[in-house]
Amino acid sequence: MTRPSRPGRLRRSISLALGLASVLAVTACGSSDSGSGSSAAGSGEFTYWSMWQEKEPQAQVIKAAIDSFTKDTGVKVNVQWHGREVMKKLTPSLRTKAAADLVDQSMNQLGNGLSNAGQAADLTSVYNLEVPGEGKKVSDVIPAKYVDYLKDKEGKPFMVPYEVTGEGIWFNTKENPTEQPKTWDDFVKLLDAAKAKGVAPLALDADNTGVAKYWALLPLIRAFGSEGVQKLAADRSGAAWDDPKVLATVSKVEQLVKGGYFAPGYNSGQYPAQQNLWAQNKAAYILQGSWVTSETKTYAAPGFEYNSVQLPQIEGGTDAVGVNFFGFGIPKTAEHADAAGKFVAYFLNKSRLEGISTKADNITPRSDIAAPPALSSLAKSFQDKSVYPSGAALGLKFGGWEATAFQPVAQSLMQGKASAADFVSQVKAKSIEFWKTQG
Amino acid sequence: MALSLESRSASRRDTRRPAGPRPVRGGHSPLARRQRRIFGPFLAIPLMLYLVLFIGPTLYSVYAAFTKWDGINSPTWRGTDNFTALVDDPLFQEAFWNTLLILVVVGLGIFVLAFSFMLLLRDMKGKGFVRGVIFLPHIVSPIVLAIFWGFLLRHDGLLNALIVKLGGEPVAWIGPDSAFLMIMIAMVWISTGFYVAILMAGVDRIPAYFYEDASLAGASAWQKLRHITLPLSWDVISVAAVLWTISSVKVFEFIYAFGASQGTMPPTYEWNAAVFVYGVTFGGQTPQYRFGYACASAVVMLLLVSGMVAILRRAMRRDAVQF
Repeated sequence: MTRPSRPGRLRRSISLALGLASVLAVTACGSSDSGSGSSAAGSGEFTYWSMWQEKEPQAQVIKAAIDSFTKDTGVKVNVQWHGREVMKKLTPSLRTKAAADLVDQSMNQLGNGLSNAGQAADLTSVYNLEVPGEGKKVSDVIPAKYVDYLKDKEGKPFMVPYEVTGEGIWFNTKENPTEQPKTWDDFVKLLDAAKAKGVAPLALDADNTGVAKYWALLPLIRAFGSEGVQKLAADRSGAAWDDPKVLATVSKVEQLVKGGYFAPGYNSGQYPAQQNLWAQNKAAYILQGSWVTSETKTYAAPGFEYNSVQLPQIEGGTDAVGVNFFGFGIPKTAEHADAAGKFVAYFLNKSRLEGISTKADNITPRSDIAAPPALSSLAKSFQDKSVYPSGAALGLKFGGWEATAFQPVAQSLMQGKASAADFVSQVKAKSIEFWKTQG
Repeated sequence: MALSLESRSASRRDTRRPAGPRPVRGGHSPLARRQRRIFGPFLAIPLMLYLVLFIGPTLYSVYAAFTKWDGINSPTWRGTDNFTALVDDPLFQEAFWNTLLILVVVGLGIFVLAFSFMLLLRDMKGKGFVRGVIFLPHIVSPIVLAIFWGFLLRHDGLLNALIVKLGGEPVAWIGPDSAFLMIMIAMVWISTGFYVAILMAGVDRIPAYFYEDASLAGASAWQKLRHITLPLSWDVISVAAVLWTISSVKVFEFIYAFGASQGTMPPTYEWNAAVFVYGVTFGGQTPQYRFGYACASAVVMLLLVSGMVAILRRAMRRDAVQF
């Protein structure tokens, strides 16, 4: 036999390589099949990437549920505690085969990272699963008014929440017992009362872009409703910002800034200095998310009793309450979505989900689980009032606009750099610029 | 005495060529042949790695700059829209301006300080120790430095505590108008030691007798700097300038650790181009996944740095002085 010519040799080595690759591919498939035990009975394991670090209380609660889930069902859970960067790590694998079958994060993170990218599994089937041991479906224990905001454009749910947060005006009941103010003037009276006592009325970490934004955004939502604010955001002509109600609303906030209602140094500190100062009774009120209660726990003055009210309605606007969610999502390309879905339903059982309230100090979506005392007023308002997605869902629907045209100006307003009139003209101008560049 | 670098290497080549028959060339010896055969694979491995890990992603980023891409799904072609959007984007304008401020103002600060230290340290006792002390911040993680910087400057920080103790009023060191200035000062503080070390390495080569001679001739410190130190360490200075140009654009950790809180981005008045890239992709509570747009901004910055380096190299080109 003659020695094969060069191209012949090349062809041979290519076919050898291809052969080897296909063998590897087949064994890979084989191993994953045998590993998962995919059959009519469902997957025998799944991988869960968590937004929590292993030592956090939420992780402890979920971990306990994982252990009993494996014991009860025989399904193995490969859990990895990634912390808040979990979506960043998951993103590269989403398109081909998701590295995790189950992931948890906030509504905004899952909304943008999974749903808006078209990479979220339709969780309708999970909502239809029975919560083990309760004879109720998942959709029976999660209020429909929450699920409304956890759906993609086609109305398919992409998330099952297990923790609900929201914003409020927080105070120490012992020092400043407060009833829900009905009007903005009532609210200012509360602040004046604190001033008269010699306490700074409001704490604000103005360097925190998220918190600074609340002060412009929430009053606008109180005046226009969350959908009204979305309309403002989406207005390509910018004309909607000329509505005198916008200026009137923002002027109320400007008066607080100009009137010296914020504690000294609010403008030149670093988060969380001001919220700690508030927890030590050196400021009467703070506008913050419900996590402020757990964040300040170790700094709070002895006997500090957390409670909250909402900002007043403005000019006949809305008294709806903003809700944010933390919960589970399943990537579309997840291999063991069925097992992951079963675990979600399993975790929502009252006895297991309760830990999120009792151990992790947070509100759960189930109305039959009592909220931790510090959050009970907020939890009650979630049940009694209508709700809107946190921040009017601007981050999910108009993320680029919010970051470019709204947030920096809102911060400027709170730092006293922009007047109410500046705010309106700057947001308007930046909106026009922004929408012009979005094809 | 003075020869240009080019002519020196040229003369070296010239002297080498006639020096006897070259060691066996072009595969005459079996060893050389084997070496030649193995040359390909040996080159191929690093070349592959370099292509896959560096050149490939860079080229892809350039391609992605012309697309709308969320980092997950396939990019869709957008032409130059990303670039025109960048020009109108107030966030990018601010970040771009801040990047230039770091490059130019902080750069000048560093070099003025570095030269001053160089003059001071040249004939100072214990200069090794002082050099070590100035160099120290460069070794420490920028995140630790950022936390320390905040601890020092915030409203309830160390500096204000001292001022209040002395009977003054607290100063808004990191308010909206001053925060970026404080970041720039921190950059000078962090980087000066590194450039002092590089420049001193150049200056230490200069023989002491030049300075002795100049002293005998009655030269002032300024004249010594101008006529001895600068010309004789010019090549080192130009390398240092290029290094700063490149690294200044990549500053990220310090600004992020200094300005960000609770998973939010730092205030936009603290953004530079690197923070901008993070801000429009993974950063913040609601990440935007605008990867195509981020790539476009990265391409703009790459062009800027390449341009700056080219200009610097040209402007600082001198005939190297032999000594």
